[in-house]
Amino acid sequence: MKSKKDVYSAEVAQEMLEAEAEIQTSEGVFKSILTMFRRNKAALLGLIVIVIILLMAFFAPVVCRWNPTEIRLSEIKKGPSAEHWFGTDELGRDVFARVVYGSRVSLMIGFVPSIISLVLGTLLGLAAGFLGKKVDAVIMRLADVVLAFPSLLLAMVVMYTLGTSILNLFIALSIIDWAGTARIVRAQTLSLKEKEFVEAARSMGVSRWKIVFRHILPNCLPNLIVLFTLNIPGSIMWESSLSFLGVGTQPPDSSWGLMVSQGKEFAYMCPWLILAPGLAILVTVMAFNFLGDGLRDAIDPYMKT
Amino acid sequence: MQENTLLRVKGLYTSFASDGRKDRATAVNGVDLTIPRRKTVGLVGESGCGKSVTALSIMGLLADNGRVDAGKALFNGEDLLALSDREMRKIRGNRISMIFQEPMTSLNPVLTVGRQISEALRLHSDISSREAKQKCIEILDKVGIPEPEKRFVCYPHQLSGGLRQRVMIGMAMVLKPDLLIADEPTTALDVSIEAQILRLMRGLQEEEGTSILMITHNLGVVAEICDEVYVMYAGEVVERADVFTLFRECAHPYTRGLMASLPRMRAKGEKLYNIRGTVPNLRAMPAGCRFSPRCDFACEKCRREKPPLEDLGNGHLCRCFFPEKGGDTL
Amino acid sequence: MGKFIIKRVLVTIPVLLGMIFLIFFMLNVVPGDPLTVMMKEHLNEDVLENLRANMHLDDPFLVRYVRYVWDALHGDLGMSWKLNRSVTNLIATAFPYTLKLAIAAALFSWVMGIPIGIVSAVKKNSLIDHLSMGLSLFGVSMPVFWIALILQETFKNILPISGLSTWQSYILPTIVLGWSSAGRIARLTRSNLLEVMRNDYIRTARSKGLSPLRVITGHALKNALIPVITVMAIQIASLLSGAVITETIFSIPGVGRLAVDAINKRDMPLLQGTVIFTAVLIIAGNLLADVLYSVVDPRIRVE
Repeated sequence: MKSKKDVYSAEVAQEMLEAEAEIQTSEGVFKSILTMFRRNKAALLGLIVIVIILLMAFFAPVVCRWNPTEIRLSEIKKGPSAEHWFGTDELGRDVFARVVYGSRVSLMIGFVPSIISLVLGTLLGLAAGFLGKKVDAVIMRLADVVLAFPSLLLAMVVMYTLGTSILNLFIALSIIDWAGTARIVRAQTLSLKEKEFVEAARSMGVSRWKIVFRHILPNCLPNLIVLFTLNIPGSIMWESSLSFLGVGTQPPDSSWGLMVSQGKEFAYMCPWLILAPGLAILVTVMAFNFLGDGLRDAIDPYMKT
Repeated sequence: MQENTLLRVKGLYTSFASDGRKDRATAVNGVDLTIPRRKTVGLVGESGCGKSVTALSIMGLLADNGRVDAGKALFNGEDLLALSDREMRKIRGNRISMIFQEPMTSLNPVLTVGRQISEALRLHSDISSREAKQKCIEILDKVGIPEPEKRFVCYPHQLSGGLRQRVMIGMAMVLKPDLLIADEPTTALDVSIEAQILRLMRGLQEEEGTSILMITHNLGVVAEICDEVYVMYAGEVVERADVFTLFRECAHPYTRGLMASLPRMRAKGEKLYNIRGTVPNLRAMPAGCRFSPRCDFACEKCRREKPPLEDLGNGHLCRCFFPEKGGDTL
Repeated sequence: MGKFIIKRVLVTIPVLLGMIFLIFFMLNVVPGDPLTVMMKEHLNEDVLENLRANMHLDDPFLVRYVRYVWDALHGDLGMSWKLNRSVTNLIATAFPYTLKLAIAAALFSWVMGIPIGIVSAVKKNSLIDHLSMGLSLFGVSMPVFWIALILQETFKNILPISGLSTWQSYILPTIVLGWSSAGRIARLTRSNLLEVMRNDYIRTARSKGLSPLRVITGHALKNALIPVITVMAIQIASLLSGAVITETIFSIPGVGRLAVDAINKRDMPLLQGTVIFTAVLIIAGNLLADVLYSVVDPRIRVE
């Protein structure tokens, strides 16, 4: 039986090693992210593009020569030129300025629901995983229900019920995303709950909430960062789809999706009206996807979509 | 002698590239190896000494980052390392086959046992699927699997570890190869199963006249089944002898260390011998004799000069300046 | 396996009821019932009161919910407020279009995605690999409506750009709808195949003398494609979501288009019906994927 025992203990050792690897210190995570950026040029590019886009949105008045809302009837539907980089629209407004200012709405709608659903999903996932039993059952069934929906239709129903406004967009998009986050946090909480250091903390009489926030939450953080990074482009896409269908951002506010929608009537004569905002969506979403994929590989090579 | 030799490996060098590094790590450093017909040759050493890499180089199964840099492997007079992929595929699984350490993971979980055995058969010989099935059942029976017709349609996970290794052996032997390379075939198995498997291999060898290259770190397995033994250390052969000579009068300090660390019946309380230190890093090989940093007898010369593989008589080779001929093992 | 399927079906029931409840709740808390919305000017308060009682609009919320589920089980999803037809009837007319389009798009995404994934995995880190993986990420990151508009403008002189009558009219909507699924499937196929190729049994297969192509088709592919099946479920969801936009842009009278019309015309029962119908399809798709998984993977089958 000697060799079987050896194999067995080798398996146990392997599992322990994996467990250790799973519980990376924040320092280790930071290091592996740095290495990832050095190796994964696509992720680095994504990060750079995101930073540029954020800066442009923030310093929009400096970046743009034209006022995005200024109507100039002498300049209607002009093609791209040195004067107007992305041309002008049917009211003579500068499309480049509109895209830059539109990024403020699109990015806000990318970030805010992702933050809300991150917080909500984390809290519900922690509660489900740590409290277990009935709480777990209720939260997880609710998550199942949300995940069973076609996201776009769910958001449409929410917008129908609440009416179209930016705040309601936040709510609709948060409802889509929290369930996935909750599921992953719950799964991780369940596995961490069994780990030695949590058992040890519990045996020393550390309170439940302290265990959750001191020991379990920090270990979920790396995965949460990845989820957050990948939820942002999702929200941007959903917002643009909703705006396109007329139940998202409403004029006078302007987002990229709405710009495509407004430009579609003139698409044949003035293709820049839909190309510019569409490219803005594409570049932004791709940048976040590159970054998210890279972070995922760095933090947890085994976690897959 | 010549027509008695099945495989002769000459000056084999194999190296690996690793992520983000320019230099390659040399895992096999000039290995010579001769496998006579109908004999079992052992290749012994600690893990990481290059014994599996040697086998995979011969088979042309190195991972993508591995490469044979130099050397020949004359199989029936034909250099395997010079063959094209297509030509090598005709030999692989047909004239030379291989079994691996982990019977659990070495079989495809989603294909039936029968499918996996008959695959090689149908690839290398032109027979109908019915004949192939018949032959598979015969070989399953031969490797001692009860109710072979039933097992034919089983999936690997429905079999025990011992049975799976029997399936692996059956798969390797179904075409009656000239050479069977066995890479630690019993390491993952119970000791009682190990003996059965070794007996099975011995029996098949006698019946079919197959040569076996037995790769193992277990000197017990060597004693059980091998005719000749090569001991490898850090990518080099350090000693070669027939099995009786090796166990009676091994000459290299490393081999003696291995022998001494075997648990044996001895006085209670005597401590088990342990070779100090660990296998050197492939990228930072010590100058001179590669074993010198761990050797109890190393002197200045050992650290400076590399000892040649010298014949101590009767084909007993040893890579040491101070071979201990005939001495007791520590 | 029968047990597994039954268990799996039973788990689905509460999800289904919860889903209907959620939609029913959201759509029925909107102030204003159909009578008030439609007939306010024409009828006086007493008549309204009477009609409301007749239509059970004053019953407690839970009673109405149970009645809705009961009716839905009998194939009755209520009457459209605006179109004077039953919702069931409207969906039955529209669904074949959505189904045909979804099947075409799914086929497109498999025919494109799997071979591209395989080639990328086999030629890992080659130009082809980088190109096709870049392209698939491109596909996943592109707004559906945007690529639809661009294709429409580009091909409007060569191909039909509305309806689903001839086979040519399928081409553009199929590409638009299947594009991002194809990208996702290519990426998944590639990463699964690469992972499977690291397994010991692949080395065993090579040691038998099989050619690289046969190692992949005979040994690696089946293992690699098993997880891709689960994507089918996700794919159904994304195809049906995407159908909303694709149908709107290409003027295809499918279920997604019905939902958009319902929103624009504030036709609550129609919206409710289409959303619930779509969600049921997705839940059924999940179920199907799980069952398929257990059929394909012998390891699950015996448990």
